[in-house]
Amino acid sequence: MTYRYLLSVMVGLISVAGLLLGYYLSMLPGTSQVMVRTPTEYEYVSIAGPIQPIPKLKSIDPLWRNLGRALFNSPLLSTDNTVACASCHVVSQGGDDGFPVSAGINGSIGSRNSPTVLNSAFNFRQFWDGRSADLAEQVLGPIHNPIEMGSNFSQIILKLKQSPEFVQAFRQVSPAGITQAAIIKALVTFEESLITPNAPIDRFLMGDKFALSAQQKIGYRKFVDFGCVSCHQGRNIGGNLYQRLGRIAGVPEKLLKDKGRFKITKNPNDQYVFKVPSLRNINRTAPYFHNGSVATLSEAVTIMAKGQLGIDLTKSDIEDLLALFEAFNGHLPKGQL
Amino acid sequence: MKGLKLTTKLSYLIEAIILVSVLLAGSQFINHYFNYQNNKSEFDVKSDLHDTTVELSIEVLSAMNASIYHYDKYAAKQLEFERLYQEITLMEASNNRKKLSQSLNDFLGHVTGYMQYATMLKTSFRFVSSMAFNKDVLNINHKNKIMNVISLVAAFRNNSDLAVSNDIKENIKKLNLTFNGIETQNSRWNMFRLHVKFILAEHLNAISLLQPIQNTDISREISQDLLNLNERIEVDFIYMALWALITFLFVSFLFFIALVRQGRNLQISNNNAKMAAESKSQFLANMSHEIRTPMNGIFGISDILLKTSLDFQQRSYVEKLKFSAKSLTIIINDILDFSKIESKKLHVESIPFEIHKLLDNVKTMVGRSANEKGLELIFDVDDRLSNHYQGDPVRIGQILLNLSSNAIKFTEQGHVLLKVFLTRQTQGCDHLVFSVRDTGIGITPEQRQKLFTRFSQAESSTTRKYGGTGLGLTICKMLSELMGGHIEVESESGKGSCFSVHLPMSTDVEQIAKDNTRFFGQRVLLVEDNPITLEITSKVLSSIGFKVVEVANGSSALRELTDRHFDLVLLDWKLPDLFGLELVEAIEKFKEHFDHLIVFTGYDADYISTGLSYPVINKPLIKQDLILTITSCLNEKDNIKPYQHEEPIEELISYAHLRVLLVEDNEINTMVALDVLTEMNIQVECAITGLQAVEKAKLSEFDLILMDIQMPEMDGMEATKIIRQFKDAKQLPIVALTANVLHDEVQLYMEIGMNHHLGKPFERQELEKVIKKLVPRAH
Repeated sequence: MTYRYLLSVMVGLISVAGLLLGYYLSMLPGTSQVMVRTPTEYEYVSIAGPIQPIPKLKSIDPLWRNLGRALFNSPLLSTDNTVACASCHVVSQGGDDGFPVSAGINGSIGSRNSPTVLNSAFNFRQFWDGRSADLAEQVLGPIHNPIEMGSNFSQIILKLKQSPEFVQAFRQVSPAGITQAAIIKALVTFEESLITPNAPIDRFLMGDKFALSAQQKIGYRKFVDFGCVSCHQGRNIGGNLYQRLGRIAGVPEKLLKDKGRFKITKNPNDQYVFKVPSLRNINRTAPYFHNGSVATLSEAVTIMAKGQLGIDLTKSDIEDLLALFEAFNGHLPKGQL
Repeated sequence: MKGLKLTTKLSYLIEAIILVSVLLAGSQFINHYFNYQNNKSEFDVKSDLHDTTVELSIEVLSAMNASIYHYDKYAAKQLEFERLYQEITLMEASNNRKKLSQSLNDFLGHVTGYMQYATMLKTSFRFVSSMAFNKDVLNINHKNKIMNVISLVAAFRNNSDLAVSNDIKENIKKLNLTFNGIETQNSRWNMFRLHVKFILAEHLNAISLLQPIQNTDISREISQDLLNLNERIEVDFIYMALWALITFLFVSFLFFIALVRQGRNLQISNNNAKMAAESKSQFLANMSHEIRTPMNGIFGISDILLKTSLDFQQRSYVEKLKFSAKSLTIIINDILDFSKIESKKLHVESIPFEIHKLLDNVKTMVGRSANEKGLELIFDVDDRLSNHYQGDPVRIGQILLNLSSNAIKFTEQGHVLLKVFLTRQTQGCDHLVFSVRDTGIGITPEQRQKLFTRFSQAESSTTRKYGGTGLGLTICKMLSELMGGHIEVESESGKGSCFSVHLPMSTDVEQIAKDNTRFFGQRVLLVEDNPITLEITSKVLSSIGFKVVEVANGSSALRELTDRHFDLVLLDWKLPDLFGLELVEAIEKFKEHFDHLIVFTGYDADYISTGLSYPVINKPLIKQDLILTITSCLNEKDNIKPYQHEEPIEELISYAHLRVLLVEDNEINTMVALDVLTEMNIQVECAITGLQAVEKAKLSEFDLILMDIQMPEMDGMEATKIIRQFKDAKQLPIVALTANVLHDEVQLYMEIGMNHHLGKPFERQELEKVIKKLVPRAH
C-alpha cells in the first residue's frame, strides 16, 4: 500500500512538473533558431577617401550557400513554377535582367527596374524605396508580390518537400528541415557571397597606381570635384543614403512619375526620394533609374549632373566619367557561378 | 473500516491540495520568470537603442564635416537604429506605450531628411567656395561679385539668427547674379548660381532639421525608461525568487507529508504487530493452562487406574497410555516453552541455588533410564565451585535434563559423563561449563549444522527411532543464550558427542560456608570397574582427605583386603567377576579388615527387593551425598542404618485424623487429588469455588486447605485473602495448587498468606512433605 501511495505521489508531482513545463514552453517566444551556421564574414579594409573597397569574403557557410544557390535558381518559388529569383537577377549578366522593368508570373509587368543583386549585401536598405532593412526582409517581397512570384511559403515548402534533393539538402543544414526561416537563410547566404571585390577602382584606392588609366584618373577627379561622390560614396559607391531625384534642378518628366519614398512615409519631403543606387558594375546594369527609362549611361550621367549638381557636362566630361565607370566593374570570386 | 476509508480519502486531500498549490506557485514562478526575461530583454534593447541613438546623432551631426567623406558608418548606424526601433515597436505594442515609438519615428524622419540635405549642401558649399579659384572668369567685376557672394554665403552658413540670414539673402539677391552673356557660355557660372540658390533655399531647412536631432528627448526618455525597467526587473526578480522558493517549499512539504504518513503507517503496523504478539502470548498463556489441565487429568487417572486391580494386558495398555501421555506432555512443554522464548515472554529467574541440588534433580530424573540401558551415569563436579550461585536453577536443570536424556537416548553402551567445571573467575561472576559427554552414536558434520535449528533433528528417521519434536536442543540454545551464555557441541560419528553449556554464574549471593569436612587420611578401598567412575570417585575421596586404593574387580578387592586394613570399603554393586549378594557375602568374609562398608550402585531392581543392611549410595555419585553417608556411617559406628534415597515405601505414619479441604473446580483434577488423599486415609471435604471454600472454612475446622488458584466466581487468591482474615497461617495452612510457578508468583502467594505451593497433579510424597512441614499434628 505504501508503494502505491509513493507511486501516486510521484506520478502527481511528475504530472504537475509536466504541466508547468508545457506552460513554460507555450510562453516561449516563437523563435525558431536555425542552427549550425557559420556566419558570413567579410574582411573590411578602410581607407581615407569617399570610396571604400569591397571587402574580401573571409568565411561563408558552403552548405547554406549551395542550398541558397539552388533555391535562387529554382522556379518552384513562384506560384506557377515559371519565375525564379534568377529570372530577374541574372548573376552572370551583372545581377539584373537588362529590362526597364521586370516581368513576373503570367507575364505581368512590374513598375520598377530590378536592382543588381551583386554587392547588394553592402546596401543599407533594399529596394529602390528602401522599404526592406536587409536581404532577409527583401526575400519576402518578390515571393509574395502577386505580379512577381505570387506565392507563399507554405506553398513553397510543400513543393520543396516533393523534391528529395531539397529535402536532403535542407536536412543537412537544419534539423527542423524545410522551414521559412531556413529558406530565407539559404537565399541570404547565397546573396552575401555575390560580391565583386578587386575592381580596378578598389585596387587603385588600395595603392595600385596603375590600376586606372590616365583617362580614368581624370574621370575619378571629376567624379569627386563635381560632387557626384557626395551621394555615390562609401563601400558600394552609393547605396547608403536616400536622396531626392532632382535636388537642385529639374529632371526629365519620365522620372517624376514615381513618387518614391513618399509612397511609404507619406512625408511630403520624401517625394521623389529614392535610395541612392550603387554605381558598381554600372555598365552591366542598364537601363537606369528606378523605372529603367534611361537606356544609356551617358544620358543617365547627364541627367544626374544637371538635376543633382546643377552641372552641364561637356562631351569630354561624359567620356571621362564613363571611362571611370568601367573601373567600377568587379568580378565574382572564382567558383561562384 | 468505513471510518478508516473516509480518513484516508480526506488525508489524501492534503497531498492533492499541495500538488495544486505546487502547480499554482510554479505557474506564478514561470509568469514572473517570463516577465523578468521580457523586461530584461526590453532593457537590453533600450540600452542598445540609447547607445545607437547617440552614435547615430554623432554621425548625423558630423555629416557636414569636411573630413567626412562617406556615410557607410551613418548607414550602418541608421540600420541598427531602425532594427532596434522595430523591436521597440513590437514591445510597445504589447505594453501599450506609444510615446517612445513616436519620438523615435520623428527622430528617424529628421535624420533621413537632414542627411539628404546635408550631402547636397556639403557639395554645394564646397562648390561655391571653389569658385573663388576659378580661372574662367575674366571680368574683375564679375570676380568681385563672385567673391562677395562667396563671403556672404559663408556668413550665411555660419549664422543662425533668422533676421541676419534674411538680410544676407537680400544682399545676395541684390547682387544680381545674372550677367548677360556669361550665363550661357559659362556652365560653371550657371552651376554657381544654381548652387547658391539651392543653399539659400535649403540651408535653413537643413538647420531646422538639425535642431530636433540635436535636442532630441529620446536619450532622456530612454534613460527614464531604463530606470523604471531596472526597478521592475529587480521587483520581478524578487517575485520570481519568491515564487521559486514557495514552489520549492510546497514540494518539500509534500515530501514531508509523505514521510509523516509513512511514519504513521509504520506506527500503525507496529501497533498491529504488537497487538498480534500480545494476543499470541495471551493465547499461549491461556493455552498453557488449558492444555496442561487435561494432560494432568490423563496422568492422574492413569495412575489411579494402575492402582486398581488390572490383568496383565490391561496393565500393559494403561502403562502404554501413560507413556504416550508423558511423551505428549514433553512435546507440549517444549512447544510452549519455545513459543514463550520466541515471543520474549520467558523470564530468567535470579535466585540462589545449589549446584549439587540441581545435579541431584537430574540424577533423579534420568538415573533410572540410564541404569535400565546399562549405561554408566557419572557426575564430575569441580572442587573450586562455590556452593551457592545466583541464577535460574529450573532452566539450567531443564537444559541439563535435555542434554542428559539425549545422551542416554543416543547411547547404546558406555557412559554419560556430566561435568561441571570453572573456566575463569571475574568480579562477582564465575564462568562455568556444564558438559555432557557420551559414548553414543555421535553426530556427523552435516547433522551438526542443523542441530540447533528448530524442528530439525539430526536425522529425519530420528523421530521414528528415538521420538521427540526436535525442539529440545533449540530450546537449550535459546535458554543458554537468555542466561548470557552459549552452547557448543563436539562430536565424532560413531564415537560419541560432547555438548557443553557455558554459563556465567553470579556469585553475588550469600555464601554458606563451604562444607570443609575433611577426613584425616583414613584409608578407603575403592572397588569400581568403570574406569571413569573409578577415577572421579577416587578424586572426590582424595579431595575430602581419604587415602584411596583403587581396584577394578572383586578378586583384586579381596586380595587387597587380605593384605591390609581399611577404614572404609566403597563397593560397586556390579563387578565383572562378582556382583550382588554374592559379592557382599564374599567381602563380608573379610569383616575384620575393614570398619565400614558402603555399597555403591545405580538404581538396581535387584537391590530394592533384598533389603541390605549396609548403607547404599546411588550412582551417579554426588560429593555431598558421599560426605553425608560417610559421616553418618562413621558417627553411628554400630548403627548401620540403611540410607534410603527417596524410595517409595509403606508409610508408617497415619493421616487418618487429618481434615483437609480440597478446593478445585476441575472434576478430573479433583478425582485425582481425592485418590491420593483417600489412600492416605485423610478426611476430605470438597469445594468447587472460592466462595464455597470460604463458607466451608468458616463452618468447620480444617487442618489444611489445598487451594486451586484458577476458579470461577472467586479464585483461590481472593478466597485465601478472606480466610486469612479469620484464620492465620499457623492456625490454618493453605497450600496453593498450581503448575509452573515463577518466583514472583510464589512471592505473591506468600504475601497473601499462603504457606506453600504444590504442583498439579501432586504425588503422595510431595503431599506428605508438605503435611510434615505445615501440620504439626501430623508427626
